[in-house]
Amino acid sequence: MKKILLFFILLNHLSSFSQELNVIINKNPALTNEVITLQFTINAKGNDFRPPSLSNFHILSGPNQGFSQSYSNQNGKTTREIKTTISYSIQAKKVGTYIIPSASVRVNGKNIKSKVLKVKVEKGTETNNNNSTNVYIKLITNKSEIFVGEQISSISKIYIKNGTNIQNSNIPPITYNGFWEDEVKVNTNKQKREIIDGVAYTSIKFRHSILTSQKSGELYIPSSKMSVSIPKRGRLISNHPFFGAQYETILSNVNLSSKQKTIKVKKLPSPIPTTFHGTVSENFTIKTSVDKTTLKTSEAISFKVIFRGEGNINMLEPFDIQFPRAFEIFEPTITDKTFTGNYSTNGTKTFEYILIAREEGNFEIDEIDFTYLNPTTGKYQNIKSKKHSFKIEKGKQYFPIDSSQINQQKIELLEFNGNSKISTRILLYHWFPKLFWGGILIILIIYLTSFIQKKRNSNPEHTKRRKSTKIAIKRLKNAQLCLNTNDFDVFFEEIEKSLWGYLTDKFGVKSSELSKETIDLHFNNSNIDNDFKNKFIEILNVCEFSRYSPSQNKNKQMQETLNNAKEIIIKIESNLSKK
Amino acid sequence: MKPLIFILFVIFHNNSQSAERLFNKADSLFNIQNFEEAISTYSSILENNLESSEIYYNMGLCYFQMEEFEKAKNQFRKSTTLNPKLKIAEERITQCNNKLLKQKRPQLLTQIWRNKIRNLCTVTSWVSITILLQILLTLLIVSKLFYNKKIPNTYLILLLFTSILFYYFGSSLIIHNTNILS
Repeated sequence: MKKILLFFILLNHLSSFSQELNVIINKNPALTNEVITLQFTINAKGNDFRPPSLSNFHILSGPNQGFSQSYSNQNGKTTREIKTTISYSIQAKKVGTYIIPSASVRVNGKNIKSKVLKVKVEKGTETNNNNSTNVYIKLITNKSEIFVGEQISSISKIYIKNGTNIQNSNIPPITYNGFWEDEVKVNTNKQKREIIDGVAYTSIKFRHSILTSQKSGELYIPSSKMSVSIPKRGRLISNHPFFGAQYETILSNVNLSSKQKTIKVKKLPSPIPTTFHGTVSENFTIKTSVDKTTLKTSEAISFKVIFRGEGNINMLEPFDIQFPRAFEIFEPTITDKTFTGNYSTNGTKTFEYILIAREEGNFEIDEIDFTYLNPTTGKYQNIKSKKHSFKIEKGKQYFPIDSSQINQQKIELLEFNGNSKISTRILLYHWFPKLFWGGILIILIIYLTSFIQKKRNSNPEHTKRRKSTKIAIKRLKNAQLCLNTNDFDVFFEEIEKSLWGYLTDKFGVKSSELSKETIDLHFNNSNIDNDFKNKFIEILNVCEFSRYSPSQNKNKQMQETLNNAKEIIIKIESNLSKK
Repeated sequence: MKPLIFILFVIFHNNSQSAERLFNKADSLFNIQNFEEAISTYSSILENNLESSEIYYNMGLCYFQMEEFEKAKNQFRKSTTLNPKLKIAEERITQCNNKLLKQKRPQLLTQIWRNKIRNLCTVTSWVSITILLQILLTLLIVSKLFYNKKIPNTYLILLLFTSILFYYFGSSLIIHNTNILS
C-alpha cells in the first residue's frame, strides 16, 4: 500500500516538472476589427512546431518564433531557464465562435500538444464614438420579484472602455433598508473583457452582496456609487519635432452612479404552516443525529439537528422541539457553518441539544416536521427528520434541579379560600421600613436625652454652683436694677434687704428676730465655715456704712458690693448642699 | 349608630360575597376551557382591591393551559409569594421552567440561605416580630435609663441586633414580593 502511495506521489511530482505548451490569446471575446495576438509558449527548447489551422482568421503576421535563455544564481546553485515563444497576429474574418485547435511542438523527441481554445468574435463598430461614456457603473441583480426571506445577489460592476485609464477610485458604503446584507469577497484585480454594442470594455466587479429581504412591499436597492479620476489630455506643452506633441494630463473627477433597483417583495403565501420558521430556500434538508441510543438514567446524550441548504439559513433560530418528558433539556448550542455564495448563503447550521435522561424505559424523539418555502414554485415544502428511539436503563438516580413529578398530576383549580385587601398589603409594605427606622430613631433620642442628663449630673460641684448662682441672681435682681439706674441709696438698701431676706428664707428665721447674733447661731448650726459667716457680716456692715457715708467712687463700690453679695450667697449655698 | 353598622356590614359582606361569586364563575369558565374569559373574571376580582394566592394560582393555570408559560410562571410566583406554603404552585413554576427550557439561575450559597430564612415567615409575621422586638427594646431602655433598673447592656445590644436582623429579612422579603406582585 505504501509503495503504491509513494509511486503516486512520485508520478505527481514528475508531472509538475514536465513541459507544457501554453496557449494565450489576448482578447477574448474579440471584435471583428481587432488584431488578436495568439501566443504559444513552452519552457524548453522546442522544434518542429506544427501550427494549428487558422482558416477562420486572417494571419497578419507569424508564426514569429522567439527563444530566450536565462541563468539565475541562487544560493550558489545555478538554474537555467529556457523559453520558446511562437506568436501570431490574427484577425477574425467573420462574427462567430471559433475553435483554435491544438498546436504541437517537439521537445526531446516528444510531441507536446497545446489545449484547444475557444474564441468568440463579435461585430465591432467601426466608428470609435467618443461621445459614448468611457466609464460607467451597472448594478446587476439576479431577481426582481422575491418572497420575504428570499435572497438576491446584487453585483456592482464598473465598465471601463479599452484605452481609458482610471485612477483614485473611491467607493462609498451603502446602507440597505429592509435587507440584511452579507458581503461576498470580491477581487478587484480580476478583470473581465466584455463587449457591449460592439465596443470592448474591461469590467471589474467591485461589490457583491447577498441581500435577504426582511419585509414585504417595494424595496429599493440604492444606487451603487463610485468616484474616479480620469486623466484627460490637457493643453499642449511642447511640439517636439522628434518626440511629437506633448500634452498636459488633467485629472478630472467623475462621480459615477448606477440606477437604483426596485425589488418587489411578495408576502408569504397563506396559510402559513405552523412548522414554517421563515426559511425560504430552493434546496433544504434536515437531519438529526444522536450519539447513543442506549443509556442509563442521569447520563446525557447529544441530539443534533443539522440543517443544510441554501437561502436564508443563516437566519434560522432554534424553535420548539417536542422532547419526551423523560429528558431534561438544556438550551441548544448553535454551530453556524454558513458561507456566502455567489447567489445565496449556503452551508449548514447545527443545533445541539443536551438531553439528560431522568426516567428509565423506552422513549422516542419524534420526527421533526420542518417546512420551507420554495420561491421558484411559490409553495411550501415539508421535510421530516428521522425518528430516534432510546432505551434508558436504570443507572444512578437522577436528581433533577427541580422536582417535576407534577407532570403526572391533573390540572386542578384551587378552591376559594377568602381574600385579603391589596391596599392593606401595599400599606404594610410601604410603612414597615418607616416604622422600623422611626423606632430606631426613638431609641436613639431616648439614649441621647439620658446621656445629656447624665452629663449634667456627672459633676455635683458644678450643679450645686449652678443652682446657687440661680438663687443669688434671683435675690439680687432688684439691686442689679438699682445699679443700672445709679440709684445709690436704694442700692445698698436692696442688697441688705436681699441678704436678710435670703437668711430668713433659708434658715426659717422670723423677721423680728433678725440680728447679727442670730446669723452666728444659725450659721454655726448649719456648720458653715467661719470665713463665710464673717464675710456675710462684713458685707452687711459695708452696706450699712455706705448708706450714710459719702463715697468718691460710688459706682465701683456698688459693683464690688454686688459681686461680693452674689459670691457669698453662692458660697453659702454650695456649702449648705455639700453637707 | 346601629343602622350604620348594619349598612357597613352589608357592604363588606356583599363585597366578599361577590368576590366569591366571581371566583366560582371563573372556575366554571375554566372548566369549559374558556381560559381568556376566566382570566378576565379573575382579574376583575383583583381590580376590586382583593387578592388571594388561589386567584393567582388559578390565573396561572389558565395561562398554562393556553401554553403561555412565561405569563403562567409569573402568576404562580405571585401565588407563592402570597402563600409560601403552597407547594403545588412552586412545582408549577418548575414545570413552566421546563417548558421554557430555562434553567434556574445559579445562586450564591449566602443567597440561598437568605432566601430560605426569608421564606420561613410571611411578611406580616416578620413585621410584627420586628415591631414587638423594638417595643420591648424601647421599654427596657427606658426602664434602665430612667428607672435605674439593672439590665445588662449585652441584652440590649443583642435585642437591637435581632430586631435589625428581623428587619433585614422582612424588608428583603417585602422588596422581593413587591417586585413580583407589582
